[in-house]
Amino acid sequence: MDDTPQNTGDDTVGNDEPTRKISHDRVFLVVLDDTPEMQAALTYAARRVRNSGGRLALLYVIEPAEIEPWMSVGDLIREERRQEAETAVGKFSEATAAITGQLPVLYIRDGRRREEIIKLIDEEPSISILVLAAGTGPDGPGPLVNHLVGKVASKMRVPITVVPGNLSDEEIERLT
Amino acid sequence: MYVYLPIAEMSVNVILILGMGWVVGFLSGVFGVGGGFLMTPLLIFIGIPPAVAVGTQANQIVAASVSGVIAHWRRKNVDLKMGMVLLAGGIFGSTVGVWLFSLLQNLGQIDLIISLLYVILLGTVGLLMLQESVRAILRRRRGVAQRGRLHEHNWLHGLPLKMRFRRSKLYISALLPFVLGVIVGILSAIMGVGGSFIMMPAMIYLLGMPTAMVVGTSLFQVIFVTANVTFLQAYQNQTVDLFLALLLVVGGVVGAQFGSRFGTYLRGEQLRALLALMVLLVCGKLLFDLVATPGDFYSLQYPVLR
Repeated sequence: MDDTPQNTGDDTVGNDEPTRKISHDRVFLVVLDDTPEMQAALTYAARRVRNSGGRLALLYVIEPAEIEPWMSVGDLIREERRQEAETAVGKFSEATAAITGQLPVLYIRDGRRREEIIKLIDEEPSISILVLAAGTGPDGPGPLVNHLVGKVASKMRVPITVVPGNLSDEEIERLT
Repeated sequence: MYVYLPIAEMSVNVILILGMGWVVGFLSGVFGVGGGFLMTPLLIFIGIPPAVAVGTQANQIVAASVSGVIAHWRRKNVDLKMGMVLLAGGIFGSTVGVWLFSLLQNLGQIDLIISLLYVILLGTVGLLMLQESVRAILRRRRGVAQRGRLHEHNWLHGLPLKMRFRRSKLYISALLPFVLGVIVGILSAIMGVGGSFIMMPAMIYLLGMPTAMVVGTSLFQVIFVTANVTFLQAYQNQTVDLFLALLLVVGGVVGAQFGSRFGTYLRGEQLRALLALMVLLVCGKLLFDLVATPGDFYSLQYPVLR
């Protein structure tokens, strides 16, 4: 999971550049996790933003910790998960900013991943496309794709793009 | 529906044992603990000889921990190196513990010692947990959790045999986890607990491990330590009742499934207070049985033949 997307230029990481044409009418949402295929979704969404406008939004869901018999231990687990979330969000937002030239919209939520995704999409009308990546291992495309594309697809407000996890950066570049 | 337990040398109601396994399994599913600290006293209450309760319970923990560790292994939440050092201590401690166990058994004092140790352990743990939950319920709003100052240097850092644990991002003396393993190993052998109750806070606050690694790593070593206890208890003290263990495992697995499914929908504070009360209740009952006038003043025990 540690390979950050290729830095495709010397774009400054940081604030929106006024020179770049930014349209806020289209927001690509990517859900961060630690699977290798997530990188494909991230790259795909970032390149689409760069090539055809829009904005990138990143969601990190902090899964609820198990209830620990010791409360202080439980509190510490929650705190460390939050720190982990902030680190991950920071890392990926910088990596995508290098592609898109603008900082993505960041969401950190507590809860179950599949529920929070749907809740966020319902609460934020600006989100217009959900980009997921399908795992290529023997375990199938992964729980998120299974759930969102399968069971609750009929209830989704936005289209879902499923990026095959084995696409190389060049192939993604060609597609976007 | 009664069956005869060959090692415990008594008949028990199958439904009762399955039910007990279910209840304790449920709790262990919710809290992610083995539940040995509750199951062993419960077994003693229904008349299983304490020595058999301990030996058999260790067996059940092996089964319960295996399923848990697989999930953590997949998520890469096991610090193998740390687990190995803990395990080395654990194997040593549990072997010493089983030897102590047979010594006490030959002296005829094992049942008393088990009960006494349980009163001390459950009393301490129960009171600490109750204090924590009462404080939380009273205060409601809590600040950010902290582990005190990180990298606080004290005499523990001056110990020799420093070792690097990459996964846990630690550079500490290997003696620390080893000794922790020994202590929990001894408890495991004499009390039939996995010891995660003591292990987890010790790993976090004493060793300074990241919390993400703690559960998986402690489960990893618990499996092998309790397996060692089961083997030695069966071989040396003949106190493992496989049929009883089977009943407990069946009840426990089903209960744990329910527990882990419903656990996330329940409020932590109330559950924790409930667990603390249960622990104290069990402790009180053990204490009462220790000091109450027995129903019959004499009990006959045959010396262990070997």
